[in-house]
Amino acid sequence: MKTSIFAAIGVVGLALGAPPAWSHHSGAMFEPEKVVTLEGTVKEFEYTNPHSWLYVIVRDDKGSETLWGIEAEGPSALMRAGIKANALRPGDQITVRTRPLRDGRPAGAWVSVTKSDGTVLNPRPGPIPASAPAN
Amino acid sequence: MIAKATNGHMRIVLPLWAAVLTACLSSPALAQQKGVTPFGLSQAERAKVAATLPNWSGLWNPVGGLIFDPSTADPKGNNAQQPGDRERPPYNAEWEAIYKAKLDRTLAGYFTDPITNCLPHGMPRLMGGIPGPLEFVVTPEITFIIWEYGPQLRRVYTDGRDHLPFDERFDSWTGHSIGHWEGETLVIDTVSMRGDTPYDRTGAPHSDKVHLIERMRLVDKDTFENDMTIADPVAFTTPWHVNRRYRRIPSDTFVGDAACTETQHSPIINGQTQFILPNDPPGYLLGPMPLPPKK
Repeated sequence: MKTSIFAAIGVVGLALGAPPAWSHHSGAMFEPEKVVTLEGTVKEFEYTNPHSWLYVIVRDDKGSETLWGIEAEGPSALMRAGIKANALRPGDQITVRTRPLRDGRPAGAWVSVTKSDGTVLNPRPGPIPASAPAN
Repeated sequence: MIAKATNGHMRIVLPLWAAVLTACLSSPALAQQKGVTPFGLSQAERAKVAATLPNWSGLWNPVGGLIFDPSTADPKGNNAQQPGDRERPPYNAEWEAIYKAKLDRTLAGYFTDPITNCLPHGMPRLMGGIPGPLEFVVTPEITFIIWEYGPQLRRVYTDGRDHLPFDERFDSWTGHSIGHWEGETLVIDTVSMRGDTPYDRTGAPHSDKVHLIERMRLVDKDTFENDMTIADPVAFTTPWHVNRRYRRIPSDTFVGDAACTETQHSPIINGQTQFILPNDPPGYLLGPMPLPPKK
């Protein structure tokens, strides 16, 4: 499968008054104004507290694989946003939009996930920002 | 409507209140203290009291975000999540300096919060520095407040008991809360709260001498109010008045048990919130992460 990693960079102001995405730890470790789009294969969807984790295998053009960890809210917040425990299965082909870690490791904050059937999983109410808001 | 307490008010009224309670406990003749209900009534007597209590059932979310006092948030509207976000409690110079030092540390790239290590939020923070939903279980003798996050629980005794005698008191996360009903308003007096919990993620500190008076009531069927007056003779020059509201959310909203220690990927190590990944090299630790300068 051909995959690509490209960064969509935009600048937005703080989305003040938006519901808190991160209640357990600060979001200071994530890029405040940059969203990366990844295409890959679901390895595992950990539906756990205090944060859920989506592990995605992303292959670059040369065929080497990187395991990305995408962090989201815990089960209750995801349930309330309509993202259920069975929303993602190992092997699912997905497109992930994530605000990456600032230290360069392959992980980030979940902005949205699009499944191959077009379903969009967005834990926060409202439209998906072109560039995710700072926490 | 609600008298803003002053230092004098707190000093004069509270000992009287304590004296009345002590008298009640020691004298059966005074057992009819207003707005409290002892444990052990008959079902019929208890039902009569329950019929006078307000209906606070349902699920509630705090309005105004995760900063304890949205009205003094600086910058305005901040959600206590960004380095440098703060509020303006009436600190004396010494405690303002303690707060400032914590804020400077966040600006230097260290952003820590005790709850990130899955410690309880503590009080007074539970009333303003934690996401919802929360629930109220009102009974004649005691009111429980339950948070999904943690999960955490406050007990407010309305059975007429007093706080522990001064020399027997010890600090706890939620402190010791006694209350009484003034009509449909629950008035709560809380002491013995730990001094090592901040008001919220900005790090705003309080001492272990903090003394909280709350007046809780329904403003309308979908709006709940907690009007707080916080005395802290060690940290404040004057009591801090904070008014928080909570909005009703649909009662059939899914609520679970958000147990923090279940899968902990982000402990605080070396004074920094870590982010531990399956592929990390052994011993990898995140260093300070100052935000890029503002444009």
